[in-house]
Amino acid sequence: MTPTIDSLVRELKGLLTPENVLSDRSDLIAYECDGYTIAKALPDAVVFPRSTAQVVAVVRACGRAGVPIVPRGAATSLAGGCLPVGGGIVLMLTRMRRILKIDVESRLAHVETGVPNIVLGRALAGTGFHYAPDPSSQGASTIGGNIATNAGGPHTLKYGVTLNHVVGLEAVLADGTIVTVEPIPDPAGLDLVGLLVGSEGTLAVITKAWLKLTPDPQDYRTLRAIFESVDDASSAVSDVIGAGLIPAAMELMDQGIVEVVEQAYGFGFPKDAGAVVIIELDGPSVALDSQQERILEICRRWHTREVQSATTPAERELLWKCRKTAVGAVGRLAPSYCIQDGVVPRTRLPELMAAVVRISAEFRIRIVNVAHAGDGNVHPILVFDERDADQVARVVKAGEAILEECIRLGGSITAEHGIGVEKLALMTRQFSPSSLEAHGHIRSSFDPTELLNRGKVLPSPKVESGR
Amino acid sequence: MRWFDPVETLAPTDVTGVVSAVRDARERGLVVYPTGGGTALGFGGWPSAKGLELSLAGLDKIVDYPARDLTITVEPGLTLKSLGEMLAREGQWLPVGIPNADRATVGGAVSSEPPYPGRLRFGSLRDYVLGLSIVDGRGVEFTAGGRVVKNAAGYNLCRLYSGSLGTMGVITGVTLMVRPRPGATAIVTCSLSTLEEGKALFSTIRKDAALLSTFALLSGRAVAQVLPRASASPIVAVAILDGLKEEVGWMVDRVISSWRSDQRIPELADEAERDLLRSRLSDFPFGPSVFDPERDLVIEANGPIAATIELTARLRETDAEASLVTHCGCGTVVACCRPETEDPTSFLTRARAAVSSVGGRLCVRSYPPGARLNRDAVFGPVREEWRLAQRLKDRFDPQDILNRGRFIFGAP
Repeated sequence: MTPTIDSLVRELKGLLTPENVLSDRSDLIAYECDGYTIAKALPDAVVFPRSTAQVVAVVRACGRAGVPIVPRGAATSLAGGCLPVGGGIVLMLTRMRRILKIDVESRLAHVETGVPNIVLGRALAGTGFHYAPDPSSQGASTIGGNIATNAGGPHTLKYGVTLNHVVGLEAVLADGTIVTVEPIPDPAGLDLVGLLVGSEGTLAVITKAWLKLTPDPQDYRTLRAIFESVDDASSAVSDVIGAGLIPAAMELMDQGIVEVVEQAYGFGFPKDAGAVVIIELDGPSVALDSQQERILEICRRWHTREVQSATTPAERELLWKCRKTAVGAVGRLAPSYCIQDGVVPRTRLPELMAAVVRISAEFRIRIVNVAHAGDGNVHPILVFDERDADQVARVVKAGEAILEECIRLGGSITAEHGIGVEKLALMTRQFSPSSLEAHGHIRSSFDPTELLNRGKVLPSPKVESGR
Repeated sequence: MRWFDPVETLAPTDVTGVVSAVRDARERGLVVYPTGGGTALGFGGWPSAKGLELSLAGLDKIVDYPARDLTITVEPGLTLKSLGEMLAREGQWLPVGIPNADRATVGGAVSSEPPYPGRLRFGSLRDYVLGLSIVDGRGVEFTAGGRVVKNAAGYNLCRLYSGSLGTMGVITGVTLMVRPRPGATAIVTCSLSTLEEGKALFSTIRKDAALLSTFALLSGRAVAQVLPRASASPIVAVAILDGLKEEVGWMVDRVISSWRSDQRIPELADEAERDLLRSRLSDFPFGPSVFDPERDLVIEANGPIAATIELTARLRETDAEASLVTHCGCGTVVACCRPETEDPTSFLTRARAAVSSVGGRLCVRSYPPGARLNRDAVFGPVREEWRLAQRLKDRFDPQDILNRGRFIFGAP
């Protein structure tokens, strides 16, 4: 520990009390990475503030010491957004987890950002409203983490991403100033909420949020359609959107992932299915059957082998369980996996899926796929053994090849996971130098010394040269 | 031109022309006032320097419309009406009603974001902006966002430009997310005596709000200005429902039966009334038969959603003659006032105090050119977060050549 860090840790212990500051190496190992396990770095210390005032005190102390901060929630992020590049202080928001107010009349929830997504969901049960963003990590991920990455989820298709549901924020800027944007529409000013959502903790530490609540649907129809090929399945998805239908969700799983899920949980899927698509319609009961019939017709046009419909809430839950547990089941295939996140215009999905197959063969890396197909958002899961350096290198290259293909097809290198450290190099391929300069203007306006989450979103000279 | 009295007007027809115009103006030390259809020029502080008008009306092409992707890329000068007609051919729409759609342009709407009736359900126009092409105040061209519906790559520059009134850059291209056009629309109205009755009506259908695009209360002169048929009631509730035919039919039955059980007399608008009412509400208060730019002061008040009715009441007390539309569930009230016996600045001070008393904020959406209101009068007192906004402005337009004096930047 350097003298600067040593002195800072002592100061932080004084500010937060010693039990809210970790600095022993054995304690820090748990904070060396997030869901992107390919990259790891130990922080110098981890702090657990319990209030905005304590966050301000930590930010100011770190600012004075010139030691960078990584704001962090549950670290379920998948692109290394929580990686303490070059050390620094990990600022945990997980102990700021109060739901401050649920105001059904105003359709708002006011929360501290360490609240797990699922805890908010449970608190809203029975009110007639819910918080719509439902990333697959929602059992653990926090509202703050969801905001930092502008998280999506299966129901993004109809309800939009996190940004569409955040209407106000309290944030601590890099100089310790607190900015509060109240949940009141206001033409007088720039859209700071819009800038902060998805900024991966690089512009401010977001401490509180006002979230928009969505009325619960009156009813659902949840279908599981089995197709002979990924091509047929993605063509059917594209046709559903083309027919003017907007289901609540359309989730695609390819044969590789279906096989693993089946081995792990035995949901009763045919292991030779080329692809499975889970389609959910929601809204007033009166119109669901006719929409379902139109979807069935499209599925038949694409040679669906079988369509099963959930007839009870328990059956619906089971269908969703097989989707939401899919990624976890991948652990059976190999010691490590890397979940990619790319997005293309919806109609280009079949082309992207075909490219993933080619890339898998070219780099000799097994890839299984889940996709928020209705949005054109694919999550190829690359399985490997991280103890094998050659495999790791091929995984990185295969991942880049997939994302290059997304760019070529008119899409983006990330839909909902963010840039983190994983995709930094690809930013120069996604954006022109002048566009990157514009991104740099945002960064430098908020945090000129790059105190917050240094080395994320944009390449940082400070990281390359060491702080 | 009433607002800028430009030293000259440039009307480029391509992006290169926009870049040249901005760079040239910068070299000559001239301020640039970008314009679209000219329908929202009344919004913003009085221009604080002489400059040139940069009309984007000539950039009006549809660049790419992959309908099955539910996205469209257009040049900024395309009118909302032309956009709507193109989308309608594919059974799609942009569910955001912009006043005077026959003249208002896409770029102008993104820059000025007028309040519109469907925000309760459909969100704001900025929720539909997926990508932008920009020429900033240095004449540097860049793109923001992309053409996909989900995109987490980098900072959301599209949000920076939405609603920034042309002060951060000139928009030269817009990619929008569009939606399938609803199969059916119904409008149910109900005459009321008090605002509280309106609040009660909204409460009865709030939980079925999935199909409710708008719940507005018309009061004062707005009753006659918006309703197609004459009404003697001081307040009229308007519920707009969009969805599939079966859904809308079901929802209409629910609304009507629930309001009847509340001892009200709901009325279902017929087809002709429905379309006229929707269009008048979208235009409010800038519709041609309603708005007099030489006399009217249009204000937008926003407050806590729970205080929307109180906000309306305070504004009615401030100006008993005002024409008001209250957007329940959004916390927004739009009022068209004619303070003919009072100085506009003094009227705004009173109105702002009334709005503040219920935790709201007031912004002027249009004022008579003779009033020459400054920034503080239009947008209210300086706020802490404007310091941050100013830092952004300084990077994208370091010489303050874009729309100087019109937005929150700089001294009044």
